[in-house]
Amino acid sequence: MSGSKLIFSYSLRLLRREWRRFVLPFLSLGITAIVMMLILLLSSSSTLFLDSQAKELLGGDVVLESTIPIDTNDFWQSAGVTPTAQSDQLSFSATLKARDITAPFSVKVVDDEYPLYGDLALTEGVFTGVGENELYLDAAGAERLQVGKGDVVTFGTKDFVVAGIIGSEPTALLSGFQFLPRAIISQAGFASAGVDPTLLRLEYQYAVKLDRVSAETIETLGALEDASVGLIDVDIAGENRTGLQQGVQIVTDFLIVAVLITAVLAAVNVYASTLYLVTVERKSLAILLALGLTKNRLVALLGTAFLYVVIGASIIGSVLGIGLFNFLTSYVNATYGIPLPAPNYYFYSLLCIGLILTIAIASFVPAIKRTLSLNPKQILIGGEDDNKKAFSLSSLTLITASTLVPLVALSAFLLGDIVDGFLIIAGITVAYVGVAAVFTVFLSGVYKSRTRFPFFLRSIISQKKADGLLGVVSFASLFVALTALSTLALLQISLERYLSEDLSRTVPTTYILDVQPSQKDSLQQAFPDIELFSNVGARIVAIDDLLIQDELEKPESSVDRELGREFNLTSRNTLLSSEQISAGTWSSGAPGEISVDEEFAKRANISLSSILVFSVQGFEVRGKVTSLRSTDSRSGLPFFYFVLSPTDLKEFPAVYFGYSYYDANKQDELGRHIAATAPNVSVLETQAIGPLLTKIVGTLMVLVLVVTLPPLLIATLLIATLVVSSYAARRREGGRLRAIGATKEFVLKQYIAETISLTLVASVLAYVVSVVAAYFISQYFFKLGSVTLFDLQLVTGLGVIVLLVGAIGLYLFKTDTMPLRELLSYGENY
Amino acid sequence: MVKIINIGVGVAVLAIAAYFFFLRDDNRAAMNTINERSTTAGGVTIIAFGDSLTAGYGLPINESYPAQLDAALKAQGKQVTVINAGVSGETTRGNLERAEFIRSQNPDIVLLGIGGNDALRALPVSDTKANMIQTIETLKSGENPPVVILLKMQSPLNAGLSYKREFDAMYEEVAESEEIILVPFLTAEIFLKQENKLSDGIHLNKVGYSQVVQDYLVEPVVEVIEKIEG
Repeated sequence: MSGSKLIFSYSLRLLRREWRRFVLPFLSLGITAIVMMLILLLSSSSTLFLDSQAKELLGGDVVLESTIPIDTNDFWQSAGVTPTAQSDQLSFSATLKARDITAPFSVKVVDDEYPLYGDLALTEGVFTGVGENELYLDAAGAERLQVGKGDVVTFGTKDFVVAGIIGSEPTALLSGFQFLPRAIISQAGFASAGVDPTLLRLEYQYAVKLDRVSAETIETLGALEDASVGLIDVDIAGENRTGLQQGVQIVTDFLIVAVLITAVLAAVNVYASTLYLVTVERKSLAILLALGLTKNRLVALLGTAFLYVVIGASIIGSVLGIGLFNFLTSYVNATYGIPLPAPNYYFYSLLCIGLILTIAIASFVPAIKRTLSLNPKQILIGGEDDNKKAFSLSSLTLITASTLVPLVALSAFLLGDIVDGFLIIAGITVAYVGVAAVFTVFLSGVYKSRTRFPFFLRSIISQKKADGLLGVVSFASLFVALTALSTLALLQISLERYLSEDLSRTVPTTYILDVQPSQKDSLQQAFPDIELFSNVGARIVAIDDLLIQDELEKPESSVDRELGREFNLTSRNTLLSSEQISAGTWSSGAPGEISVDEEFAKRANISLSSILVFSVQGFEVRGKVTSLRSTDSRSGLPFFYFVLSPTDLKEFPAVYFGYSYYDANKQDELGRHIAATAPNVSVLETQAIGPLLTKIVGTLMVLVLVVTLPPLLIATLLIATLVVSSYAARRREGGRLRAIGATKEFVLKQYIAETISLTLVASVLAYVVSVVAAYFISQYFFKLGSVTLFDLQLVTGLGVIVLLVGAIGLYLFKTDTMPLRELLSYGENY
Repeated sequence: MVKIINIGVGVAVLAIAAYFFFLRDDNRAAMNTINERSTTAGGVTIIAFGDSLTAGYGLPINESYPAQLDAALKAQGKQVTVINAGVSGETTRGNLERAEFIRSQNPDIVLLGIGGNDALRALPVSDTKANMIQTIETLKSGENPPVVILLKMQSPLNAGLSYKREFDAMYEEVAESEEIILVPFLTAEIFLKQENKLSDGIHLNKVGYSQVVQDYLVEPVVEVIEKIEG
C-alpha cells in the first residue's frame, strides 16, 4: 500500500473508530459554516438591497441637476461613461386649474424612460407612461383641485385628463419634503401647453443608468461638478447616504463586523478543537510514533482525518446556511413586504467553504506542532509535561498570528480596504497575545510565591502552570470568545437603540416654518407643545480682529467663502437633546455669550473666548464665545451654528421655526388652525413616510437580531469546547491527586473553583475590553450618536456563562467514573 | 432722633444709588453687545428693507445692492449711510412684522424691495398687496416719516400668466394708492441675462446688482436726497 493510500485509509479508519472525538469539532465547524454562510448572504443581500434602493431613491445611477440645460452627451463623454439609458426631466412650480379652483403645484415633466428604477405606484391601476393629454396628480393635489381620475385639469392653455392618482413615487424618500402637491405630465404635453419655458424657473434633471460606477468614475464626476462652479449638481446613487439609507448602511457594516467576529471565533474554535483532539489522542499518537511512523506522516494522518471533518462540516453548514437564508428572506418578505435580493449562492458557498478550510488549516498547523514535539518515551512513561516548558511568548505570538492571517484577507475583502482589514485583525491579535502575556506573567508571579497559599489554591496554581501552552491558549481563547460576545451584544443594543429611537422617534412628525412674532403667542396658546426657535438673519462682520466681509473682497484671501453668507442666529437658555457641550460652559443667560457649533468653529477658526461681531439689520451685535457644541445632525432636531443670549436678540424682529410630534389627527387640527389664523406659515409633515420608515426599521431590527444570535451561539459553543478541552487536560492531574489520597469531592471542588474563577476573570476583562471596542466601533465605524456601554442583561448573561461553565464542568466530572488505573496508566481513555 | 433720620436717609440714598448703579451696569452690559449703527454725521440715512434681493443672498455683503448704492452715492459726494436690512426668505407678512422696527430707526429714506417670496410661493396677490400697504403705512406713520421708494419686482411664470399679470400690476397700484415713488428693480433686460444671475437662477450677482444700482436706483435716490437736503 502506498504512503498516501495508507494515510487516506488509516485516517478514514481513525475517523470511523474515534468518531465521537470528532463530533465537537464537526459541530463547531458546522455551526461556524452555517453562521458564516448566513451572514455572508445577508450582508451581500442587504448591500444589493441598499444599492438597488439607492438607485430607486435617486432615480438613476447618476443624476445631474441644474437650473440651465446641459449638453449631456458632452458631459458623459468628459466623464468617460456611456449610459445604457437616460431619462430627462424638468421640474418647476405652476398653477393648475380645475373648473373654478386653482392651486399651485410642483410639476414634473417626464419622458418615456421615466422612472429609470422602481415603479410609480398609483392608487388604482398600473403606471405605463404619460400620454400627451394625460396628467397624474398626487392625492393632496387631487383633493385641492377636487378632482379624480378622468376629470379635466388645465395647465397653460391646455386641458389634461387626470390619468391616475399617484400613490408614491420611487424617489419619494430622497426628493425631500414638498411645499406643493405634485403633478406629472409628458414632454409632449408640456410643449403643447402654451407656456414659455424660458420664463419658468426650471430645474433640469438628467438621470442615467450605467453598467458600472467605478471609484474612478465617481472621482471624475466630482471633478466635473467642481469645474461647473455650482451650475451642475452631480448625485451618485449610494454616495453620501443620510437618514434611513444611513441606517441601512450601518446595519450592513454591522453584518461585516459580525462576519469578522464569527471568523475570529471560528479560528479560535478550530484551534481549540485541534488542541483538544491532540491532547486526548496524545497516547495513541505517541504509540504510532513509537511504532515508527514519521512525524510528517503523523501530521498528514491527523490532517487528513481533520480535512474530512472540515469539508463535511463546511458543505453541510453552507447548505443549511442557504436554507436558513431563504427561510429568513421569505419571512421578511411575507411580514414586511421587502424582497431581499438573492446573492450568488455558488460564489458564496465556495467562499464560505474556502474560508472555513483556510481558517481550519491555519489553526490546525500551529496546534499540530505540538504533536511534532511529542516525545513518545516521555508520554508513555507519563513525563510529557516537560515539553510544555518549551512554550514561550514569542511562539504564542507566532502561532496566533499564523492562525489569524487568513482573517486579514477576509476582513480586507469585506471592508474593501487592506489597511483597515490588517489593522482590525492586528488589534485582535495584540489583544489575544496581550492577554496571554499578562496571564503568563501573572501565573509565573503567583507560581513563584505559591508556598504562601493554602494547599487547595497552591494545587490549582501548580496545575495551571503545568498546563503551559494549553492553559494560556484556553484562557486567551475564552477571553476572545467572551470579548466577541460582549462587543457584539453592546453593538447590537446600541444599534437597536439607534434604529428604534434615534432614527425614527427623534425625527419630528411636523415642522412649522415662518411663524411671525405676532403669531407666536396664539400658536403656542393653541399648541403649547410645539417647540419654537427664533431666527434672526445676520452676517458675520468680524471674528476676533479679522474683518470677514472685507477680507472676502481680497482675491488672495484664504477665508472660507461660506463665512460671507447670511446666518440664522437663535437665542435660548436650554440645550436640545441633540446637543452636547464639547468645550466651555453653556450660557448662563448673561448678555454677550455665544455658543458655536464645534465643526463650524473649526472651519471658521473660532475658539473659546473668540470675539464675534455680527451685522443684524444694520446693527452690530458683539459677543464672546463661551461654549462649543456638538450636534447630532441625524436627530432631525433644529440645528444652529450660533446660539446667543436671549437678551442680545430681543430687540430684533425674529421669525420662528418649530417642530412637534403629532399624530395624524393633531396634524389636521394644526393645519386647520394655521389655515384660519396664519396662512403664511408653512407646515411640513413627515408622517407620510412614517409607515414606510417603520416598516424598513422593523426589517433592519430583524436582520440585526438574526445576525447577532448565531455568533452568540457559536461563542457559547466555543466556551463549552474550551471547558471540555481543559477538562480533558485536567483529568490526569485529578487522577494523580486521588492516588495520593485526595477525595473525588476535593478534586471536583478544585476543578470547579479553577474553571469558574478563570471564567470570571476572563469575563470581567472581556467586558472592559468590549466596552472600549464597542465605543470605538460605534463612534468611528458606525458613527452612531450615542453608544450603550452598560447593559444589565449583558452582565447577567456573562454571569450565566460563568455558571454554565461551572455546570458543564460539574456534568463532566459527575459523569466520569475516573478509573484510577486507567488514568495513571498507558490505557487512558476519555 | 435726627441722627437716626439722617442715617435712614443716607441708607436710602445709598440704596437708590446702588440700584441705579447696578441697573445702569446691566444696561451697559447689554449695550456692549449691541452697538448703535454708525451713520455719517449729518448725512442721510437710507434703510434698504427687503428680502434676499436686498440681503444679497449668495454674495458677500459688500456686493449686495445696498452696499453698491452706498458706494455709488458716496462717489457722487453724497453724505449717506445705506443700511442693509434685508432678510432672505422673508415674505410680505414678515416685512410687515419688521416694519415697526425699521420705522423706529428714523431713517430718511426707505428702499422697499419686497414681494418676491410671495410670488415664488404663489401666495394670493390680495394678501401680498394688503401686507405691502400696511407695511408702507407703518413706515410712513408718526412724525418726520421717511420717504418710501418702492422697488418694482416681477413674478416668474411659475404660478401662471394670470397670477403674473395680477402680481406685476400690484406695484403700480400700491405706489399710486400710497403716493410713493416706484422704481424698477427686477427687469427683463437685466434678469434674463444669465451673466447677471447666480447659478440658482433667482438671485442677481454683483454685476446684476451693479446694473440695477446704476440704471434704476442712483438717479431717483439722489433726487430724493437733494430734496431732503433742501
